[in-house]
Amino acid sequence: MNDNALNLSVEIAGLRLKNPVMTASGTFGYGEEYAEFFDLSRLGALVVKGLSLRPKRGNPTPRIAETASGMLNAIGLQNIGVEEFIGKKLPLLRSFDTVIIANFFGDTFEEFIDTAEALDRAEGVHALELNISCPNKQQGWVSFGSDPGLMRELLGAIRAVVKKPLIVKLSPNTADIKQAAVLAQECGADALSLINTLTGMAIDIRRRVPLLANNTGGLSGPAIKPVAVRMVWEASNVVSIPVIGMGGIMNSSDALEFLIAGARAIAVGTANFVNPLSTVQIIEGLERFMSEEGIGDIQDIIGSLRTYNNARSC
Amino acid sequence: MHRLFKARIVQTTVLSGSYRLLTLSSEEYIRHCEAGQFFMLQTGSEFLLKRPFSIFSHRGGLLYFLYCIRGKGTKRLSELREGDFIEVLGPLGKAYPKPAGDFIALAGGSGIASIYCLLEDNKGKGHLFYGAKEKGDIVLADSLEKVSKVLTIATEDGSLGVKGNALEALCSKYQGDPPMPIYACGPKQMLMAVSRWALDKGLPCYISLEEHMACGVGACLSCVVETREGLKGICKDGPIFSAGEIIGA
Repeated sequence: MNDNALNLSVEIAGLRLKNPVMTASGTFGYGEEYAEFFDLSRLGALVVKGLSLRPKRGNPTPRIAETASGMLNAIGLQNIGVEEFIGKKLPLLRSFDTVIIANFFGDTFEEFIDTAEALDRAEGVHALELNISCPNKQQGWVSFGSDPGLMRELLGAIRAVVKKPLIVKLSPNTADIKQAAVLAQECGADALSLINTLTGMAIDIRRRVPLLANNTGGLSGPAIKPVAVRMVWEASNVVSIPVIGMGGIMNSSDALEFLIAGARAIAVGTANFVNPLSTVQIIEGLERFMSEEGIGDIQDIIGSLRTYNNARSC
Repeated sequence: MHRLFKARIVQTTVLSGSYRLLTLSSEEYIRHCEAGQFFMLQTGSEFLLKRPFSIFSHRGGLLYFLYCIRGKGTKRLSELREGDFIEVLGPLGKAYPKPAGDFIALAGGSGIASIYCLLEDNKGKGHLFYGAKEKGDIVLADSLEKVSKVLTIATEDGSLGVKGNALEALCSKYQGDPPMPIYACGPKQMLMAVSRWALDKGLPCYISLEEHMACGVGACLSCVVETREGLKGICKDGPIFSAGEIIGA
């Protein structure tokens, strides 16, 4: 099959992505860090490091620790703040022909709203991704993601001020991802991102202290991929809005698992740290797979999973 | 210019009980390297993340890395053999500012790696103070003698050179103000102490910092350090910092 005939484009909340490969928030800086490695216009979408109303210092070091097939991080949402992002980072991002998505969060209800409003006004930001699921913050707002009442209130208020597409990023640290997915959809989310990191811990047995200064952190990398695939499958079965799948995607085979499970697009996270060219190689791998399988349109892959009908819960 | 590539292991050399020298082929990229910069090395396929290593030398189309076996990553690195291939990313980070004339170099333990590179790139200009715990931890003394103008070795137990640490040797040699900039790499405590000493005397002082890092390019924000201008990334804004920039110095 002629590669030119391949259609990898997908639509997320009214936005046309040239391919389904995005970067996961917090793993791609503000884009400029990777601009010297490849043309960022090749990306389906670029999601920037989570932004708050004011700059954030984050946690003390050590902030990362490698674990079996994964890594723990407790960066603590360090970021330059929405104002500096718009003034200093966004101009470069506007020069690329890709969809720019701003991930954001707040420490208080009001900060969520103010940050959302600022990003909604910013030219060059095509969509917003709401983070209500980072495990590395101790403040009360983290409960916005786990308390249905609070989530309804917060999402409703954000939805009221955001005209751009609003993506909600869900936490896997919940008993039932389906409930969270349905709730976010009911509250007006245009798409869902899942999963964020799984809360974890690792210990230095000689010194008997945690490896992270924050004691606990978020687990990412190949170790969490099966959990992520399962949750993407479950969520995409109960909502009608698009699901963006992420969690341990290292190569195009991993990406395909998510797409087949029902993800409309996928995001590459930890793999960017390992290999700056991961996203590009995944796009090329998807094209190769489609050529090999004689698939002209990626739509024929998305949600194409054929499940066994004799499965029982374990 | 920063690239990811597979380098061939040309040689592995045991220098002492825990110190090793790794030689990699790297013709295409060699001309871009400068002392103080580092590479991320994939020390074993079982590891997800690469580990940062300072450039020890870059000569004749080869890259050299001096390291001390400390944890799982360096242990695994020491098991690799000539002819094996290893994925590397670099060169990364900012280099030491080029010394105009003579300079003082201070190295503690495996900090000798980036200091050696600086001495070799500025042959015959460096007054080196090199300290370690004991005689067995002092490596490549003959090579250091050749690239330095003056070499002073210090060991904590006095088994080689003067007794004490490298900074004590430096301080006792220069009671007055040495009219030279200082370049230092080694344990954080030593770096903070030499920074205070240099700032006190009004001397320029450049230190090489290290921290756990995942990406090496400024994206993951793991390796931050507090500076007078706020948090900076050791991988991208450093690893070389001016002593005056660092809080606590």
